[in-house]
Amino acid sequence: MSDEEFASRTHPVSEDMSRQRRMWRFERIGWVALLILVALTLAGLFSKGPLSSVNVKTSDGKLSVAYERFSRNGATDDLVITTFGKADEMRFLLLGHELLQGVSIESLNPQPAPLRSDGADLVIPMKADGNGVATLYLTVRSNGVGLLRGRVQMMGGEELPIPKFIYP
Amino acid sequence: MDAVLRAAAMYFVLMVLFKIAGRRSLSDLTTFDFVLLLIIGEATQQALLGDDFSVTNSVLIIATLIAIDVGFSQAKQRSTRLAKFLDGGPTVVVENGKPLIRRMKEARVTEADIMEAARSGQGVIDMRDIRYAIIERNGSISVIKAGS
Repeated sequence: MSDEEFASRTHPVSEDMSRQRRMWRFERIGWVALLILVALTLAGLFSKGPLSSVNVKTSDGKLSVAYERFSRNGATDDLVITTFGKADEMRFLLLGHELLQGVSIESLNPQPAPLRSDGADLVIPMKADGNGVATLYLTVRSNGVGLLRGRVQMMGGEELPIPKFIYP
Repeated sequence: MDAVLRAAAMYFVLMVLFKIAGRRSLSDLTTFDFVLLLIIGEATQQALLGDDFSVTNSVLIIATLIAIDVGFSQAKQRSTRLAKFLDGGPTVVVENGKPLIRRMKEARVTEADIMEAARSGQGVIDMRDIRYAIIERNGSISVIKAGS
């Protein structure tokens, strides 16, 4: 019965049932693929979700960065850099140029002293509060595509890699 | 350069997505389908234009889309295999008054859909009076009356 039902007719139209069944199979597989895509999006594979939003720290705990591992070209997201140390001191944070090649900084707060560069890297001054904490809020817009091997570092401290992947 | 790449990428992505959607789902538009299409168009627009709202950019994108489309239709004329691959072929779903249930299930067509096409197209109200019902390449259902 089923073989007969799926046999190609030549009248009134000429059919190619094997191709048609492949098409139907493609539709079914495609539907499952779409569901997987939606699930991965909810999980944050394409920015903003558990897979993407991370908080990384150096092993000495003096520098921590909350950021999105995955971003999309043209979209903005936040980067919060927190540093710990002596109270009221002035510290300098080094933002590696690898990240800056793929993102542009839209806003940077607070800014206690003028920024400068060190080679291609960006040096951001930070003023610690009475508890020795200094936090920097950055809004960045992704304008590159691909993997950026970003890094941040306190001047003289441990380097913290912040890799970021930007989707087209 | 990126205008052409954007347009080409969106063309192929949409082609694959609409293949997955199947040929039936967007023919016989309901109001909701129509709204859905508008939303899809809205969502596509940003990806096509990026942050460049210049006249040049939109002309380049439209030119690319039309060029690809015309290119495909010319290629389809030359190669029947490509045409069948891109457009598919017609499929019979009712034969001599008998619905081919498994085919209908695969094509996501119900008896109600076929009867609707039969009533509106041929004034036929009984499945037994349908000689053939065929899903066409564009997803519409053609009905041929018994005795014709």
